[in-house]
Amino acid sequence: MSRCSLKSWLLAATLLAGLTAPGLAQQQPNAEPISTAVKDFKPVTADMLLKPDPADWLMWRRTYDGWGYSPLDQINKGNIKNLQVAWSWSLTPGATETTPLVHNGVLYIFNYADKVQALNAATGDLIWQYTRALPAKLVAEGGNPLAKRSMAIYQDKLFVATSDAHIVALDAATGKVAWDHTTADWTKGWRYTSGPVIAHGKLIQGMTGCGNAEPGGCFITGHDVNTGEELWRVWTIAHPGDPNDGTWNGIPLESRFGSSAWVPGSYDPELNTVYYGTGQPYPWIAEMRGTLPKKEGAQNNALYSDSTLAIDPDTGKLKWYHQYLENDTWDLDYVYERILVDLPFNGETRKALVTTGKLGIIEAIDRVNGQWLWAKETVPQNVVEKFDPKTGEKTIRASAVPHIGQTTVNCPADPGSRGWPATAYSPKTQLLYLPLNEFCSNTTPLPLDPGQAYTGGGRATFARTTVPNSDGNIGRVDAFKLADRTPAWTHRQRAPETGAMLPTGGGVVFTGTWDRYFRAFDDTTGQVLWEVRTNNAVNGFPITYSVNGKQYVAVATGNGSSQMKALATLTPEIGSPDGGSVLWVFALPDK
Amino acid sequence: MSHAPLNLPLKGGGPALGPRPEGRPAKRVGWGLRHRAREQVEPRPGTFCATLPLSGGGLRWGLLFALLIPALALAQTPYVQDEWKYGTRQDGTQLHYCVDERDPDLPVARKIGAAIAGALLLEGKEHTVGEDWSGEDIDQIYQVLLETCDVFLGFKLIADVYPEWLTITRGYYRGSYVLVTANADWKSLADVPLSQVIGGTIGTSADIRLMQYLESLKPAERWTHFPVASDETALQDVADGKLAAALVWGPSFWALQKANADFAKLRIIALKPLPPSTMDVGAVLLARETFLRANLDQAIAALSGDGTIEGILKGFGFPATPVR
Repeated sequence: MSRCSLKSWLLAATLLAGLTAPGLAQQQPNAEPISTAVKDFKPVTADMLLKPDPADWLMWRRTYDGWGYSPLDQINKGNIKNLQVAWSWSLTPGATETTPLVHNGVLYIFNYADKVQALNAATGDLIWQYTRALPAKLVAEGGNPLAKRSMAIYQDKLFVATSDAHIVALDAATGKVAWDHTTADWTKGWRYTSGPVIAHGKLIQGMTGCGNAEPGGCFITGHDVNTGEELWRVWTIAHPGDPNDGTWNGIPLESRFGSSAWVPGSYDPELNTVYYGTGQPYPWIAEMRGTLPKKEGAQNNALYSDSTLAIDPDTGKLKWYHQYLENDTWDLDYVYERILVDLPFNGETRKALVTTGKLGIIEAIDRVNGQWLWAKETVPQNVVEKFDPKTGEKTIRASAVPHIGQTTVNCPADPGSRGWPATAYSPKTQLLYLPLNEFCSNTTPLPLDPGQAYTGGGRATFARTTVPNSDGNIGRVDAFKLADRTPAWTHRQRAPETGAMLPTGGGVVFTGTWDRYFRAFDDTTGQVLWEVRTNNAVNGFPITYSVNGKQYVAVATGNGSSQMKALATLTPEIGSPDGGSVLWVFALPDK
Repeated sequence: MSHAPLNLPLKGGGPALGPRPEGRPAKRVGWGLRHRAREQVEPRPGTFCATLPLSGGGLRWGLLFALLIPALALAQTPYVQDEWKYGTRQDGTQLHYCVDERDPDLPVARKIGAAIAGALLLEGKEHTVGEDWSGEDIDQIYQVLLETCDVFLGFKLIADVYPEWLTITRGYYRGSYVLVTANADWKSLADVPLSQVIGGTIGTSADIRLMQYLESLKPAERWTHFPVASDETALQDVADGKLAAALVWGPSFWALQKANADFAKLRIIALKPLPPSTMDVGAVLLARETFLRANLDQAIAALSGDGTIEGILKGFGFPATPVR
């Protein structure tokens, strides 16, 4: 065989392998990528993360400040009516909550059950594919734990938090595994549902699924980006030795659960501080977990649940915390995105951190020291009766506290007036855009009686119902001016809101709904400028990017998200297909 | 969290699944009803409905069918990927029953499953599930009932906790929660000094009743109470002296005391002043399997009446009684 013919044979064999490998890749442990490599891959530098090219989408909310805003303006109010499908790509069916990343014309997408693909962002052609060989039992159990909301990219690596509680670094050019670090034992219930944040050269990752398989709560870890080695760990529940160990009503560490960190944090490079949110303690009902009734002389606010944690990314030092909801007994997480924005407050400019928990209350604190600044309500809620105007301390309405043996009406219901679909902030309009839903719950604590280790979050029935005197509209998009704390506009509709918000420099705001609409609003008026009916519920994080000067908008659709299914119980007349996860990419027609 | 689906613990959650047995013959009754339920899926506000009332053996099938229709039309089944691949078992000569290898009553459940199949004049096919199970999600039970078995043994009869697509048979045994201590002198909870710490397995009916009782007392008259992650953890804490006494599921204590030498020194004392805390245990199946449900109830009633179940329980020295 001549040298030339040998090369041809090898090429043919390689191509054949590429064509047949998808099936093989699902069977082999950590299968190799199936096809080609990214040509002329340009490493992502720290400077790129600090000031990303408008053409790229390099992290979950595009920028460290968590705004979810893109300055791209080729698609704008004047021409958005012409927006059309550029290409689409079928994703693995299943819970789909994904955020594509884009760098230098390559789009990276996480599929249900830990398949990662690199696609040509202009054409949708597959470049490489990585399929993780998940434990068969985990795959069989399926559901939301196999979805991921985000990934991270830095230098030449794409970082993926896996469903079996590993962190994996893939060569962003080829999809080959660079390193694989085991953080926790998935058989004990630990899992990742979102990806990491890269901050000051460190990889930061939050853990979820922290039931009492391993009591003591969740944690946020810092890792070496080159090896995956764990550098530090911050527990999201105060442990013995922590100054807030005494906030659990006297119950021992072995009986403290929850406080998951299941959404990526934000990062302020100037303060070199990472901000992570935490969820509620487990089980959800405080009486059941022993933090109610309050023991004499004890504290029972259950730190660090429902808080913002300010963490030094280099050392893992907890600089400060701010707790939004003490002793949560409704499953009302405060875990979501932290929007870092400087705002006027009492005649001065404050470095603010704005977040909105499931209660739908927009709350601002000072991100330098955690001092509370202000709060504003959006949807109907009956849990918080009033705020202390100086400290932000909430007075909880006693009638909304669930008790064993009683059914209590609380609004919003446990999936929250906002769930994981993220809010976004536009510097162009200075408006915060929120995907919201109006509903309540008849909450009845119920026994677990497991006979086995308690590993879940709950124990109550949350019979979701409409708010009193509802007009039937569940879904809602609000625009809110942060500078003067005034509402700008509200769009209401029957279908629940299921997508994250994407405002752009073109003056439009994208989001999606349970009834399969992907929609664009005028960012200042709330007028619907464009909408398209997709194949399934729109419940991913829309992004926008450009390749060779052409702007694209991408969003994933698909059924299976637990939050979405919970909302859907309120609109039984709106059906969506069981399967059919798809990445949709839109663009203006070529001239 | 949460972002997670509502967790319905019931018996420790759904089993992990193995591959579908090759060429497995099957019995699946009520197929027409099954299709009807799928086509008329209409979720309603609220996540769960009340557990269907126990029929005993006396309800006429037609009446039961009529009662079930509205509920089934409303039943929203969990999302199962590629549900179409789960075919209809056509063989009416076998009863596929699942048992969970993590359950403390595993040997008892196996015998009872076989006895039920025999009473129905069917060939019993046992499937042991639960290995490497990691989560706690009632949806998993839907999949295992689609894929593996007609009926799944070992579920407690608790009102209002089962989703509408699932139903539970009448109980085949009645177990108790027991108060366990290492102290040789105490005869009941009343003897435990208030200075001591007592525990209970988190969120169980018995622990909830204990907390309600404690809340009814003046603070100075209460024991310090800790919810504990599991029966095994509670027993270990008692053995280690972290807890003076713990309230656990009797069958768990029965099984764990055999398996762990640390627990040999532990013993049961009376719950007094608390009343006894009992729970019936039965089997779950898909709510649409109405004909099978009626027959299972009749079989369990017959096995309870003729002493078969009592014999099984006594044979193992199992701490439970038949449900008459």
